[in-house]
Amino acid sequence: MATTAERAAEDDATTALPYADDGKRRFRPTPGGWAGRAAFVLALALIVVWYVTANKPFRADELSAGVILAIGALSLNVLVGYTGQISLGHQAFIGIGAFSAAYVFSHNHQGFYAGLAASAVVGIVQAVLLGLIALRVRGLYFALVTLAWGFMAENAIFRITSFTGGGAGTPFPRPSAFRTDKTYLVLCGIVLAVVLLIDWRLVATKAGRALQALRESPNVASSYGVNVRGYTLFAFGVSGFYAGVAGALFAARRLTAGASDYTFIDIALPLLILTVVGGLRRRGGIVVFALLYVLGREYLPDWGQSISFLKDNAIYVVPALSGVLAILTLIFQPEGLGTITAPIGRWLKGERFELDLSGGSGAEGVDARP
Amino acid sequence: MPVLEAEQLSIRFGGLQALLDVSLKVEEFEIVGLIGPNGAGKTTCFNCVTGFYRPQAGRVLFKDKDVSGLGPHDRSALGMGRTFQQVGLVKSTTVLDNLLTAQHSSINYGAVAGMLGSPASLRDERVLRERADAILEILGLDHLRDLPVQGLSYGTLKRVEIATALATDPDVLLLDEPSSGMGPEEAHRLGDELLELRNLFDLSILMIEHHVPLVVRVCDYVYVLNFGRLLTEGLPGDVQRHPEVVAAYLGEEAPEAEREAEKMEEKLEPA
Amino acid sequence: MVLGIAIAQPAVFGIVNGAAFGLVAIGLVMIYKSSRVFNFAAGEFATLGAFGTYIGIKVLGLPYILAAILGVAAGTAAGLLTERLVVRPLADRPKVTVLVATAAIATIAIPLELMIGGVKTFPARPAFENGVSIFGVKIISKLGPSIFGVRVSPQLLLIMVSLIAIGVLLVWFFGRTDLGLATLATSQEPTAGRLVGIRLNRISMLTWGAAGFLGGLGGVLLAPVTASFTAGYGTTGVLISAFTAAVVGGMTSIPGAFLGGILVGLVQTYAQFDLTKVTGASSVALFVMLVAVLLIRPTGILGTEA
Repeated sequence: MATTAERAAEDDATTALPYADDGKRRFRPTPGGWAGRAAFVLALALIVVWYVTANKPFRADELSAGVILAIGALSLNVLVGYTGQISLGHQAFIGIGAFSAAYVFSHNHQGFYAGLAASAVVGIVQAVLLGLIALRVRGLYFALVTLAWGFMAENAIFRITSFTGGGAGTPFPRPSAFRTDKTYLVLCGIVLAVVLLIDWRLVATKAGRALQALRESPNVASSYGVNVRGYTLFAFGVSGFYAGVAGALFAARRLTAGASDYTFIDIALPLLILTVVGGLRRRGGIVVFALLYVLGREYLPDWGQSISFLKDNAIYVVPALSGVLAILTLIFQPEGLGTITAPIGRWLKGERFELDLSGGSGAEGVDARP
Repeated sequence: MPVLEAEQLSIRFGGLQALLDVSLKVEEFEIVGLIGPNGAGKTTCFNCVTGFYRPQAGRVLFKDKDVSGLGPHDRSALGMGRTFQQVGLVKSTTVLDNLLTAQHSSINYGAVAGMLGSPASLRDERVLRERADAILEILGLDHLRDLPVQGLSYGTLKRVEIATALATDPDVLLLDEPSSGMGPEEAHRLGDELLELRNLFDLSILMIEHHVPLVVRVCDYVYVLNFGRLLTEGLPGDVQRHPEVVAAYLGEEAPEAEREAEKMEEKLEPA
Repeated sequence: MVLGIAIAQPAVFGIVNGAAFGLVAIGLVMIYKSSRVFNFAAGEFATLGAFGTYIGIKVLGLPYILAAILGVAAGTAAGLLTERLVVRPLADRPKVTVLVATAAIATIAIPLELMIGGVKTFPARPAFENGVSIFGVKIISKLGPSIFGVRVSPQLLLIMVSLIAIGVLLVWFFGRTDLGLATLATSQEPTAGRLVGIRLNRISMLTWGAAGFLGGLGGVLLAPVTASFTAGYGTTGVLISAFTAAVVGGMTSIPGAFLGGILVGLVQTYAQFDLTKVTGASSVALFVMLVAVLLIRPTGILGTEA
């Protein structure tokens, strides 16, 4: 159509694409570029293998905790980052997964994997129930509801002795193939990899696009044919799935599901911080920060030998510091650690390496749905 | 058989009767205009037709089916595409992404299947991209494909929005002031484009417009809204000369308005 | 008569407890009215109030009144610091961001409390443990007076008195002072306020300082009721009660916050002690209350907007 072609030329949008190369529309790395990327990945893999197999005091148990926290943070990321719903009660999501798994093991005499499945299912159901409330309650007020939900779980549901074993808790051992700390870490790593894969597919396909649209503008999403209510519940379900699984892993790591582990202070707050500092919608940043958080808690006493203050108080310094980081992230660089990990990820996929420090959209989330 | 029909729509917000007994029809492959001064209720009418508002009375028929109980996403899936007055796009992403999202209803794989990366989903995704590219090319927007929506000019955004509305695979396109922000030449070209799009995509169009020459040129039929009520309807030429219509826009007495109407007719381009 | 006391004793307890929640809730409402923000740091303002009192008595050996003042001052300082360091830099951001940032403050405060305090549970001494004496004449005994057969301990009396005093103060402030009227005005129309020459920063400081003051006071008064508190107690024990109180009363209504507080206190007390005696019954009651109000009457009892 001549008219539209002419119009295209006159269009006042930029006509030169940022990656314009010999009239090609997209940047493609050279063979050398690909080799460099492969070398980078190989180097990372080698470091991991060396770390795992070296004969040093290797805090596999703590790293497992980090991996599990990462899964929990990815769960929160689905709600806060993808759907724009705040959850301040994630101890409920994780705990209910843990106790379901333990219950199925102890009362129904099923194995670990059945427990894992149970944790996923119950996690999904619990999350969708909460999601039903989200459909009727506006954004900020919903945050209050999640806060109350979390405390209700922490103080009431998790103390129902017939369900959770009360103070003593319910045992939930590790599967026989992954008994030791190191092998359990491998199991957690596998689950994390699966979660990341699913999450990647989620974002890249129609559900992810639907969520992004409805997060920003439910009206535009509706006009595109997106069932806003349905997809909101779907997102809650996905979040519940990740969290339930994380709960089962959490319990098995401790070999017991005990109510005192699943509290606002120990789970909900740290997960929020991890998601913020890692960067909303930045999976790489979240996973990296979760590991750093846990490693910091573990290794700070060792490194800070000379500074006795750090040695004695590392367990408090790391959370407090991460809280400060969270506030700084929100103020200055809402993409958090993702500012670094996301460009690396894009580079590995074959784009140019570009660091964008301008501070992206960050924690907009939902702001008072009409 | 009219492809879209609104019957006696009435809606009030608190004390304000925004629409009263508004009825309109769009026949197949027609381009129908909806005009009226600001605040007349044109966008409210759109919102009722597309399902964003629930009117207290009246119903909406689409392809002879009563869709009054359906939500906006269902009506979109059935074939009602629309644009918004203040540009309804997902601003936090790219032009291409908007066109992919807009094809939501035509995607066959389920949400979970997509998540698990089923072969069907991967195949469908490719088809989506091809369709998106085709639409962008037809509208001459393909050079904007990977650009973020944020930062594009208003006029460009209005056209991108037409692309996304087309991507929803509509039978009827409801356009809310498509020529807004355009000068006379641009609006003229928009008119050509709408006519071509109508033929290319087998569309019927209902459009809210302020740009009288465009309406006169392009529309087969026109409805005039004022204060939430249908003032008159008819062929563009007749409506344009209708003294009450002119009075509504210019706010003058009817006889005075008739003189004004004659003056305007002389100045306007021939249809 | 005995049954009457069985109902009345928890009622008194619930009302007075709730009144303290109401104090904190007023702080929440003030902030919401002026900037439409949910202040999740309010819980830690309360903890710091209790904590400051503890430090005052334990570490500095102050008498109760002075220690309490120290506690309230700590809460106020926290409020002012939060405003300066967290709220102001995020002034033009979405409210969600500010909410998350104030929640992050709890993450900072709680480990610090543990670090300084050294233990997980701190005792909280009630006010006037030996009754109140004026010029050697005991006017209020250790156990407190008996009103209609119901014991009202000096601690509970103190809460009631504080609340009444604060209530009067606020009515006077918002109704009679220029600053108070300016605060109300800017809460409705910040731009107009600026145009008229009201300094928004001043108002913001005042509002958050008041929230810190009220939160701290709430913590000082509430902790002795349970005789001890833990780090983060304000966030885990008080925050959700205060927010529920604010929502029930209406997020834009200060008298509503007070009323909401009393309702919440009553419901929590009856749920916990009377009806079920199940652990955590009060948490369930809070959740149900909150969701019920938000679904049925989102504006709250005295509020004016959803």
